Amino acid sequence: MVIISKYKLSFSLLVLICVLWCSFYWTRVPMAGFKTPAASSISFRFGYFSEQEGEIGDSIKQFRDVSYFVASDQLLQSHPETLASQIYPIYDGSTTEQRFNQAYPHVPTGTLPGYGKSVYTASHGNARMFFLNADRLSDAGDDQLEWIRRTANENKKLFNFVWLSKDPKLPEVWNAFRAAGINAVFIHDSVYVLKLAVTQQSSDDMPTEYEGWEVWDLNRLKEKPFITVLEATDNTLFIKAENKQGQVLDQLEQDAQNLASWNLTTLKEKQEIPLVGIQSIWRYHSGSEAIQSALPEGGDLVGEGPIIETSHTETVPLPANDWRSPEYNDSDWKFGRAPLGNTNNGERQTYVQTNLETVKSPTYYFRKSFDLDVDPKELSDLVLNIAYEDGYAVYLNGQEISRDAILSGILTESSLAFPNEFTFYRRIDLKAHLNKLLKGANVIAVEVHRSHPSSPNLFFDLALSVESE
Amino acid sequence: MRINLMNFISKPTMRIGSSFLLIVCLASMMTGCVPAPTSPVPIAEIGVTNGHLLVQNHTGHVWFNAKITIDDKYTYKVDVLPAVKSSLPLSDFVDEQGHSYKRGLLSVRNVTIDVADTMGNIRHFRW
Repeated sequence: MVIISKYKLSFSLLVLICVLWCSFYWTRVPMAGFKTPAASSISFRFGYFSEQEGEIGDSIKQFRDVSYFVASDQLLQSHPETLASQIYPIYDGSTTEQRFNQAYPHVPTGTLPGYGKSVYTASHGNARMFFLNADRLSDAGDDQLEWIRRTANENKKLFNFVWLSKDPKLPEVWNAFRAAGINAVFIHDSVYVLKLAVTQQSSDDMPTEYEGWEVWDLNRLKEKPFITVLEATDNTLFIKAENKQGQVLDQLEQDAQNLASWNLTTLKEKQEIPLVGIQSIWRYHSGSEAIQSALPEGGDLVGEGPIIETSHTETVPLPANDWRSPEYNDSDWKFGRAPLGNTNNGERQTYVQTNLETVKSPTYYFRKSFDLDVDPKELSDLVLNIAYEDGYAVYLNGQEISRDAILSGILTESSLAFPNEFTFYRRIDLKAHLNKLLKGANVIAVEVHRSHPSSPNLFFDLALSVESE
Repeated sequence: MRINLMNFISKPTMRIGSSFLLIVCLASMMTGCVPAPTSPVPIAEIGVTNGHLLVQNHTGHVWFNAKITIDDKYTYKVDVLPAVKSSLPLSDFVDEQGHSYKRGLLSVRNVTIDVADTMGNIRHFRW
């Protein structure tokens, strides 16, 4: 006691350091993990000045949340002070193509050879904007429609928009826009939209002479000036007329998913044939060293391509002891109804039909067989709807067809996914994998991985369907 | 006139001050003992949870016949370690007598990984 009282300050410091050290140990400071900012649900917000005259500089300053603006060349030339890289010009014939090419250095040149900058495209997020040369659409040998069809098909975007300076008055042009899945065409004060996608009309929607299209005449709006705002949240597109204060004067709404079930060329609804429904019975097994994945010779073990194909995309058959193989014997696996998983989220727990035991491995494997009665060559699309947390890979008849939230390449039962928000039935178009379907018996195999071995959440349900026209 | 400052500081205060300085010096020395990384390219990222060793293979290659050792004693052998983050249960690490690893207060002091490179030579990495 005498020593303590003699060195009481030193002793106090020592005790304090011990307490701090112990608290550091007891708080179990995470060794791995990160926090991500909350993602905004708005995927894009574009502004369009539909008028040919008027003030635009103030609107650009006021609509700070709009990332890109579109305006006619005539309007932009009358406001040279507003020429900025965030404004896309529409070629309207008010000047020559050569002068237009020189006026906008930020516009890509030669997108369509022979058209200079008067025809170009820009992509932002899940939206693509096509800017066309209306004067040349009626020319013999015009390439713009074929270019739109090719561009829209090669790299699909959820939303596609076209800007023109005048109505070409050619039904074949409008049919081509429709077949390419263009959601809206903007011509001055007229907004043409595909009727099939519209879920909420504006106050002034009117039918048009072009099959499948209706038009919203912005000229009929009582309050002016206004700016047309294109805004998307997930699959929903809003086209709004907003005044300078940001108040919505009128709007229409589209759901991009509505177009997915239609053949837009023939305007006939696609016939959907379910192969595997949601809440189906699945065979399942927790991750274990007993679940083998083969490493086929010539297979790409780390590449982005399907791992069971070689660099020459030749199919490499998997041995029957590979859990992904159609021949794999899963008779000793448990079975349960989807959704399968476990979670500490009370609301999500109500969805779970089969609780999965938390085990050492962060992985669970699922398998299911199904029959296809028709010839796959007669089918037009293959669609996956999957609910998952955190990451997954799907194999159809031993070949990978889809994966998300986990790195490419071979996976094992100890592999971890990226930290990922719960995804509730995401629709994925797998048309490119139609050739992996077989007439008769098919097997779909899925592996779902947690992002951390101690993560309390794992979730899985899946539906697979095909479409015939 | 010279003023000796030491006369104004009492002996207990000196003791306290010197003890405090000693603690600060010790703390500074301990924090400075972390070895600097020897490789300019990250080979792997190592993490530890209560029950698992997390290994993120950053080489871009699949590791075959990898041997991972913790605290120079407990080893874990795996045929394939993909180029993703993997979680290896600490209880699956065993010593030469076959005893499983049990995590203690000062456990997982070091990790070594032995893998075959693309030429077939065994490479040894230590953290």
